[in-house]
Amino acid sequence: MRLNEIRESGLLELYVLGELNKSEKETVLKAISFFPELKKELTLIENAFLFYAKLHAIKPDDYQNNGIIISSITIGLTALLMLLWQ
Amino acid sequence: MYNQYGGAIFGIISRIIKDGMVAEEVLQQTMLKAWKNIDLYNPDKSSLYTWLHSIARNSAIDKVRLKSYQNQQKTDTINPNVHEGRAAKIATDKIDVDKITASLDEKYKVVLDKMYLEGYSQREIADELDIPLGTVKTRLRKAILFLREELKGEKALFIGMLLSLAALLILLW
Repeated sequence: MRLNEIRESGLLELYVLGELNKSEKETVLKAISFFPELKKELTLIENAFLFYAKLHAIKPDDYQNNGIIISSITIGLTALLMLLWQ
Repeated sequence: MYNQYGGAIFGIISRIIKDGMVAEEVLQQTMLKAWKNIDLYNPDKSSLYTWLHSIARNSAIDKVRLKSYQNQQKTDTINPNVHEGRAAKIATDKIDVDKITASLDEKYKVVLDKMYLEGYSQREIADELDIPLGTVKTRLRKAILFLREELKGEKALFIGMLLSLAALLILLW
């Protein structure tokens, strides 16, 4: 596949979304290794998706933050205890 | 990670899962999964946000496919006050979205929203809109090209503001 062909195929956008089947994914990965400039193209696509996601961002409640902190501490403590046990 | 992307990721999850409490649970699971599996993240393959988005999207889709979730939703339809949901909050930033996407053709926006925000597959969109798969790809690409241009404009505006501020400070000096 030529550089412009892969750019215009829409495969890169779907690659970012994880929407490609195995062979399409291989095509994209092969193209990226062959045309390093596609890496920049992928970054631009990722930034565009992130931009759109931020437009639709919703701030979770504060208790959500607390839940994550508590769960993280629990995991950390468990890992520490397991290390000490060994 | 949570502070930087939590809102964006939660926005995506909330579009797939309408029940606010369940959406928050899935956000928490997403962040913990990412934290536990950070070794699997490969920066050569994608940005951190893209990786997080993929975990969130898959977790949310798995959740809505669960029979227990579907049964719960049926019960909540009968008794709508059980979970408030996030619909009202989703509308909060609608003005910004509308302003930015005002000149984006509706047919491209529909594909972008369904695939990116609502977790539809290409095939599901093609079937629902009765269009070929190739057209789904093309429309998604056009929508992304539009967003890339908008993003460029936003950056230019930001740099312009910074330069104006710098000029003003120099003048005051």
